[in-house]
Amino acid sequence: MSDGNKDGPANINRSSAKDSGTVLHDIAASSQSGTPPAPVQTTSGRPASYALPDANLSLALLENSDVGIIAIRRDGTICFWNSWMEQTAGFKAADVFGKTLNDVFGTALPNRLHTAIDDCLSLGMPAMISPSLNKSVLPLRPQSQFAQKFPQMQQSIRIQPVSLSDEDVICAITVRDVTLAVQRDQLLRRQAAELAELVTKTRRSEDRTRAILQNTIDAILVASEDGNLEPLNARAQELCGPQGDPEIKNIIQFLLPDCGNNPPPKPPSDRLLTDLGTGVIEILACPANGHNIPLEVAISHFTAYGRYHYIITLRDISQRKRHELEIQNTMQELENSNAELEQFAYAASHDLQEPLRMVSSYTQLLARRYRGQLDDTADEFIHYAVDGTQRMQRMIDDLLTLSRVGRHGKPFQPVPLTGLFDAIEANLKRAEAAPAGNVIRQPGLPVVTGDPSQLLQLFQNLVSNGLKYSDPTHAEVHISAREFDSFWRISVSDNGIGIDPQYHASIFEIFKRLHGYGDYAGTGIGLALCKKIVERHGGNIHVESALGEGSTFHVDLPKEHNVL
Amino acid sequence: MSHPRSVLLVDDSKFARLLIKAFIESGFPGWSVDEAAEANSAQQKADSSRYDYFVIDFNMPGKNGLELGADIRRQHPDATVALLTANIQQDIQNQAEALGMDFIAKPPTQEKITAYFSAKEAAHD
Amino acid sequence: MIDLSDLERDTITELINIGVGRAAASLSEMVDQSVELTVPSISFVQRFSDANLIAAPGEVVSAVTQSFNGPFNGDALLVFPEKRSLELVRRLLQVDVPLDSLGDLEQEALMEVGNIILNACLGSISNILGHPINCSMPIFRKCETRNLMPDACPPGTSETETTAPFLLILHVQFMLRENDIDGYVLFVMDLDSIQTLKRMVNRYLENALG
Repeated sequence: MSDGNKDGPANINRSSAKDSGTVLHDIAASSQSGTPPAPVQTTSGRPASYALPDANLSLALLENSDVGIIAIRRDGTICFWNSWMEQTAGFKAADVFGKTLNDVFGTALPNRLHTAIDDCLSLGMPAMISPSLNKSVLPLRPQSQFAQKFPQMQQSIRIQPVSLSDEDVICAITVRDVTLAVQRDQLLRRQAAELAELVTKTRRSEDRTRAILQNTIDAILVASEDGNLEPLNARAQELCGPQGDPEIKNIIQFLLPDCGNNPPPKPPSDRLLTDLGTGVIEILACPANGHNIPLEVAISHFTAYGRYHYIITLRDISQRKRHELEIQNTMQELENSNAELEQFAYAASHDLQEPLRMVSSYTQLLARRYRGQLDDTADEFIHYAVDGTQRMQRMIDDLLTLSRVGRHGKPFQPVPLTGLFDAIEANLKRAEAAPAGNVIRQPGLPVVTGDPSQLLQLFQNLVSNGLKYSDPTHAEVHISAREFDSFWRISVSDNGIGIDPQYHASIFEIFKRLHGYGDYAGTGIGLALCKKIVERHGGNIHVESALGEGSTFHVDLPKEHNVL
Repeated sequence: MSHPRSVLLVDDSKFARLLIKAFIESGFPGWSVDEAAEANSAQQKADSSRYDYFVIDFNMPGKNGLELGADIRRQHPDATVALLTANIQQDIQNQAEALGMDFIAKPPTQEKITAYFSAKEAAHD
Repeated sequence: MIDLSDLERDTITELINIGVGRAAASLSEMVDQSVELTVPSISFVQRFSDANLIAAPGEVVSAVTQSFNGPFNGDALLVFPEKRSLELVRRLLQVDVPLDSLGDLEQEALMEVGNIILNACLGSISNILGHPINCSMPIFRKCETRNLMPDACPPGTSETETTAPFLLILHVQFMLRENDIDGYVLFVMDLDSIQTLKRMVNRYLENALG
């Protein structure tokens, strides 16, 4: 379309028209009547072999041309109208000859067309009328496939003067259908717009991602396959920069799962805060410009463009470390004070035994020697003194046992509960505390893990408690076990007097008794001891009971003992 | 036709001024025609002499024809002001009309000039 | 060197201004927005290399050319730096999606703009002088400024005045919405032609002024 006709067809046409001595209108008329027009002679400047084709052929070519051709005379009337025009405009040539374009199409034709035709006829100016600057100059029908989107054909129009003689000029109008090109242009533009929008969106999203990355508190770095480290955000740049830690890159490279052929040397041990292989990596960064910072290192990976990359995230855990230290200190203090307490309990109970034994021995001696020699009241007093010293003796024994749970624990080992309860029953029988057959065991009790002698003490306490607080003639204690995901629950139930729910928590406290000394024997230390043993095993003990309904003590013992 | 009129032509093109002056003098003998090449000198002339007609070009260095025309219309409400321009856009024509100015499209021809002034004179009489 | 009197120069300038005014009106109507066109300067030079617009010889320009032959012969060119031409077409067509270069339809639109302006300038001269000017269809070219109008003779060789092209250079300014877009119109004529033009202008002035 950029090819103008620089020669200008005017010259050729001028000579041919002059030679033929006729106007196109007449040619058209004569062709319609079947009379051939006068033969056209060769232009003077051309070799004979380029003789112009005869007028019939020219006319046929123009008629059947794939462009619209209109010729307009000086007076504005149409004198040529090819078949392309007939089809697209819907007017037969015979019907438009002698009429003006306005007559044919109505007066809606744009000024641009009229001005161009006027300038062509009066001044010899050619013109081109483009489809973009002018919307559908002539009301022509589009091809059917465009009809839906384009009510009118999109046209590219050329207007050229054709001189018939020195005085006479006609205006030749060529119309090309460019609807397809316009459609393509619109499509291209729409796609370009979509693309531009996509680019904008992507850019916006990228900016956002970058801002998020930049403003993340953690330092983030990426390492390519060759171990080359690139800080991705401000914090990472800070740590790796001139004010940062000169060693940090080496440490990170050392931590990467595969860091090329020459692995970096192991960093100094004070820079690695955790043992390798424990799953948590903590390192110590020593920036040039400030305090050391403990960092937690997380390494993940991704594959991009066929290459493997690691993302290294460094999180400042100073705060967490401080908290951990505080907790550790508190724990230590707690442990110390517990130990002191146990030590005190042991020392107290142990040292109390000596004078107590003396009081006990002498009161018993008094009782033996002087029973019946003094008056009745004296006998009664001596009885109370003996009873008191005996109870005190038991309490001190129990206190000693309790204090030993923490201090004299044995290593844990598998303990088959069947054997354990065999031993308990045997003990009770020896003490004549349990008639045969009143301890009923669920078959197939499991093997648990723990300190065998403490576990024996625990369950023996529970069983004898159960028997103690029951009607001796009907007393029954049931032992059962139930498996949970992480622990075994061993349950000891009795059909005894039961415990009011308001006391369910306090019964495990030391020296807590719910009954007078006269009703049930005991020091009030038994359940406290049970609780202490269970806790040493990392487990739990609780009771389910109601008054008169019997009681069930549940002991949960963990299957695994990780942290002991 | 009534008594001779006075006209001030304002146009930066000497050619245009010569042409219009020649057309007026041949169509209306006895009329006086003064010239100015831009708005400032036109304003001075208008202040010192009385003109019946102002014919002002649109595109000029300095104030354009519409601006000068508006001033003249305000200062000399009795005078007739015409905007003469090749800029024949509707927008400019509308602005000229709103300011009470006539509109003459360039290029000026004898017929156009004679017709314009004849019609104006006929309306006055 | 050709001598033009002030009046001759003024006359040609005025004729071209009239033409450009018509072209602007025509464009405004077509694109349904105000298009103002002014000619801030007109210069006559003997050699292309003397022209201001050769200041950036490597700049890529879009040019629409029409040849004319009538009483006087030559080429008329409308020249824009390529970016300006893109901007011009897009403002005229009021499209917002920029493509990197002129599309086919945009190129055709630019050719039509050139056609309207060049026709208006030539037509204005032709109309006043009462002589039709035969003109070719516009052609479009994209090239560096230095290749736009190679000087007829290589530097150093003496050229006779008759063969040296004579250039009439108009700086044209489009005012579209808020932006100005600057371009040039060049008329390239030989000495014979400019003298013919001069003669015709004088004859016209004599007739018109009595």
